[in-house]
Amino acid sequence: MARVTFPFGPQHPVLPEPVQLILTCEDEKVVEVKPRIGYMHRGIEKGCELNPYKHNVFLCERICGICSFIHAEAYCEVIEKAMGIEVPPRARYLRVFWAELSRMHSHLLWLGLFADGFGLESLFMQCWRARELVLDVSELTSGHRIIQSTCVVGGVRKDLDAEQIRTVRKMLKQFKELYTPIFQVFQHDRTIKSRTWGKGILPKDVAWQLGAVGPTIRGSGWAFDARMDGYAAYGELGFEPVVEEGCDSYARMMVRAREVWQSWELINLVLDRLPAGEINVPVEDNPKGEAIHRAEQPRGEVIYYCRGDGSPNLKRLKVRTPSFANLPTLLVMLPGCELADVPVITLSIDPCIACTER
Amino acid sequence: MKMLSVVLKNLFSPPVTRKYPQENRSPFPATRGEIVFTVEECMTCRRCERTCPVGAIKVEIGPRLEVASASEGQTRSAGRLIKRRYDPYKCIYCGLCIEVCPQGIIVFQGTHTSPATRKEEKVAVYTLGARKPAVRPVEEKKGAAMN
Ligand code: SF4
Ligand code: SF4
Repeated sequence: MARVTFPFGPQHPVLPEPVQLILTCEDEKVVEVKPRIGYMHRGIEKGCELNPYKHNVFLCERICGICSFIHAEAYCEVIEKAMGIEVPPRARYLRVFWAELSRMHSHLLWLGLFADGFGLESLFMQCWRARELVLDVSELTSGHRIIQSTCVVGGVRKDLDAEQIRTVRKMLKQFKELYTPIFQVFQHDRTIKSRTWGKGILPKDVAWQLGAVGPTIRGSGWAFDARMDGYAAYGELGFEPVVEEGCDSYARMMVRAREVWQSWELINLVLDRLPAGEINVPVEDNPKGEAIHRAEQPRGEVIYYCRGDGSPNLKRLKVRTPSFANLPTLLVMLPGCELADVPVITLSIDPCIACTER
Repeated sequence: MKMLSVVLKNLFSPPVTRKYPQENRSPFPATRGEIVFTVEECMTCRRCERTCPVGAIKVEIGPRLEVASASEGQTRSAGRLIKRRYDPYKCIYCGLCIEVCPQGIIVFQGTHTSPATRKEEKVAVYTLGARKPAVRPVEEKKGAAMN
């Protein structure tokens, strides 16, 4: 059988992210794949060295348009570690609140795109309809639908009052009604199962060896989640990761679909237990020394490293983003699959090239 | 049968989406929208300029203005010419300038605005009178001025 090699992407390969896959096929079967990145490097890490460290919160928030708040949070936490700042409890809970809102809308966006990937257009619309409600909660509490900009070094900038908490609870209840039938479709629908069940297998040991993170590794049976470290308020909220054993696209999809529920519960828990008190502490010094912080984003674990020398500018900021760790798993998932399954399998790792290349 | 009832229900129920742009949801009170600035009250402390993380605000302090005084050959100070430039295309609508302004004269406009058609800075020119609060010297501690 003659082999054909052709490019898949970088212009809009299933998702509007510039990643190119060089596929080699024998008939309809993929035999080899080479991902190629580097189309949208923005030099954000270097930019962070040129700005005063407090301004970087807003730049880091823009590394990814979907996990925005968690990037800002991870940046603030790494600087706080380097400077030995203790964040007030209320701020830690509020950080969980906005971080989980980000996770909810990110997963709903992905579930919609995934449904669109295998042709269920109306399911895509339903997912995005439910997501609208989450974005409304975000706008109500932070002033913006996606880029919340509420995190600062030393705490958070915005507080929730009793009226807002009441409204958010009401909206969360509405969300439950909207999302329950959507979740059932993802769980039981035959069409979805036929496109995802047993497709894009990432065996448990290979997932670990390749260093996969986030729902990609949790879909392969590993309870691996940075929130288990208990940063922000996760330790006090009794966090348990969502794990699926299937190792296929369906398992990865179910991890995300179930994590929407988990985030929903965490947000309710935060609203129940929100401690009173200050929401930030004044920060006057400059960071000195180095620190490292792990945080869990919708796509997986992100690692922030910073080094400062006591001046307002950082000497180095390094960000290891989750999609960068997940891209190599495509080398295992794609060979052997049908050409028609390539988009769905590629989507199943939820690639975010914006953050991969920074 | 169940499907038929769903079809009939959907046929006669109104659309779930809003008929934008005829129908418009008003923004939530805290929404960070267009920034408006009441120039008359500005005391030119330049806190907004130092705080802005993207450098969207520039306050340029011009030379001291002098006008002829009533008495022959004398001049008196008529304040300084201030040029305040705000670039809405650089602005990331974080709202930090609003938090730090001691006069509370920068506010978010709580309405939806139509998209801009031209890319231009908003420039306000005014004189800071001699009797008004004096121009404070710029603190040199760059970067640590956010709180
Ligand atoms: S809102 Fe933020 S970015 Fe815009 S002018 Fe004010 S401080 Fe600068
Ligand atoms: S902070 Fe307020 S008073 Fe000070 S220069 Fe800016 S707008 Fe004027």
